[in-house]
Amino acid sequence: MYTTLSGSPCTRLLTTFGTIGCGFPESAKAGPLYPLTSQKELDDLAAAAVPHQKYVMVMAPQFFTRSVLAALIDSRIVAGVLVLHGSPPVDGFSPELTCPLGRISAKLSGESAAPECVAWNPSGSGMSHLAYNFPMFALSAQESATVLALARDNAVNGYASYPRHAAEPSAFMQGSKDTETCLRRGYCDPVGGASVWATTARVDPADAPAPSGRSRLVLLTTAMDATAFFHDSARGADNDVSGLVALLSAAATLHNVSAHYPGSLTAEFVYGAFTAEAWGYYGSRTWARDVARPFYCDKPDGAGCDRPFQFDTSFTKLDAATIAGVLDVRQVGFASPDEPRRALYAHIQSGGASGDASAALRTELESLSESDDAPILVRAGSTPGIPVSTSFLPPSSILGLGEALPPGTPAVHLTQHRAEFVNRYYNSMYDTGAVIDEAYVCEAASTLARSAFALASDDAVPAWLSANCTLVSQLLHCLTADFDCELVRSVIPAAGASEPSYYSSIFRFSMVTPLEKFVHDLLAALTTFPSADDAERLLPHAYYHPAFSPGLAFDYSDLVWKVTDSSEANYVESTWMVTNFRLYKQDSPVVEGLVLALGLVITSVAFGIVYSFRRLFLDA
Amino acid sequence: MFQRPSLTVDQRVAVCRKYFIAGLCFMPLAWMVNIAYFWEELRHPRGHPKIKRYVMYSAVGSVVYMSAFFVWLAIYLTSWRSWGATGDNISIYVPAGDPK
Repeated sequence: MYTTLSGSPCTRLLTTFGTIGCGFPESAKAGPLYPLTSQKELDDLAAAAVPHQKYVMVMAPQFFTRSVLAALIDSRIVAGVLVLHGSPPVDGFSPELTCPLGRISAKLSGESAAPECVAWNPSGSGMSHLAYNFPMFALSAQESATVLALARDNAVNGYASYPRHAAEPSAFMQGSKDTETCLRRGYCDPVGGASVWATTARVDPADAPAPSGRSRLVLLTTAMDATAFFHDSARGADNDVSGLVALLSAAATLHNVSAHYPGSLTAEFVYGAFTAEAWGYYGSRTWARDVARPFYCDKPDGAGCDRPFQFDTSFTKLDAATIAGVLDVRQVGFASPDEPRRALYAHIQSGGASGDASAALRTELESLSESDDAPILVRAGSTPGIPVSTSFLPPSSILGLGEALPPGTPAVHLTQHRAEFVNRYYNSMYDTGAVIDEAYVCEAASTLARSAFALASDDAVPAWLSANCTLVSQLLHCLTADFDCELVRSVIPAAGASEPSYYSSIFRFSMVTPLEKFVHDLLAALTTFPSADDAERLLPHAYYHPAFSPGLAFDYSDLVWKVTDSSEANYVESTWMVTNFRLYKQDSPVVEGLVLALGLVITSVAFGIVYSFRRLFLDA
Repeated sequence: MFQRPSLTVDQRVAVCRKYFIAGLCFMPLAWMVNIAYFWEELRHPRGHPKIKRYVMYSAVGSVVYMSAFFVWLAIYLTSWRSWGATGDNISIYVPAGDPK
């Protein structure tokens, strides 16, 4: 009678300032399916509406826009929305804000003149940051076919004719109001996860003192999370699997250099793959805060700490004062026919204590890229709507690392976009492997490795130093198309879902996702140097680090999360019991009344029979 | 059937007084029971004067307590959501997914 489909639900997030996403009363209604696949169907909607009847919209991707959703909210005839699977709108679709992370980026830049809105993402509609009072689901290709056929049936037969096809969505979100209220009531968990960092430096207590005397640290960082309107559909291929793949491939290249030419390096590398960056640089900020400030563990637990929780306390061995430079990479893979790849763009923040050093490093990277061995040119990026003399960073982990960086540390963000994002599908479900230009990712990985070498060595960059494009291609395939692939299986045996979501999800004590484990184990292998006479160098130096809003803290006596800084957005995710919707045939009220009447008749007849039998045989 | 035991006048006065004292502990229902139980005594011209007095006090008291209670209830129901943690702590049931 019922067909239950899971879809990919729109869920609710809460911030200090209110709620975003989908939330509605528990008594949400079922409604007949109504197809919204053409302009005519959209126009006819108001005429077709019957008073007090709510419909479940079966919506083609091109109508899934901010203005249509706003019209549906106003119309008050929507019981739910099912978004059909389809090809991405050619002119772009990004439910993210036009100025992603604008407020927090301005705050972290430390510049009083920093604008709170830089239009990096011109395709951005901001849909993901609004609240909706009805449930929504994105459908898979198979689910779309089923649901659309039923909706078309309704359209052909007329919505008032019975039986008709209806859907009953269930996605009741338990969290409400704002972060503080929701955490207090226990209906929310902090958005976050486990960042992964690894280093070639000796930070393990079991390590012997470094004989090399390399006391400087060069940081290579990226974000490993993304988001989308429907969190489960966040494939994040360009933002930011491309950056993650470039970082991992560069680490592989630098591992070869360290293994075979250890004498050429004068610095150690620190790799950081930070998560929950999409919500306010949570991964990089938590890491930088912990590295920069003294850490006291009240209750140690093996290599980690039980209270306050840390997966591992090796970060305390890193001396933030020795950080000599940061290279951050993000969004380096969008295949764009109208903007053929020409260069990799280097963005810096001008002014401040580190502006000059960053500008000098950028100039060095530009001239380095002009060598015949370099795969691609590096050019200076610019900030949209800002005079060229000053520049601000696009969303970049460099902003989150600020607390750990000594004044005068050069920091350069390498990306594909000169000014506005090239990616038209930023933080949407269409940012998939299909949009990726593999060759460009490999060029970016080579450039990152060469730039890191230049920072970490006094020698000239060797001509042969470049990334392994086969590895880049394998990693891209595994991380965007098939996570259950051979490479991933060789690193972590139980790979899990073949198409993981890159939404960071929630922070859980002592728990990591298969993606985080893969990045951790791979970086562990890439920071381990086998050597017969130097056994301790076999120790892996990869670690997990908690990532959640710096404005939240876990209260270990009350065992609840508390807000410590309410000027932060403090993203938390609502809990829920079930998210699915079921399809069924709805009979007319007359038929339902007849069924009820028939039931009553049968009951009274049965009662009458039993009563008369008692009178006849038992009471006699 | 059950036979109601008859009480002496002194016993009736004592019962009425106990109910009145019980009602003082913010239990207007006890006062209402008192009124209902001794209603006929109150209306009767030869009712015991002490009982009449306690019943009258009970009536006035229950009106005062009940009005105070309903005023508080109205304030609580309309604005507990704006009292933050206090509002949650004094509530027996906090609805999940409450939109406000």
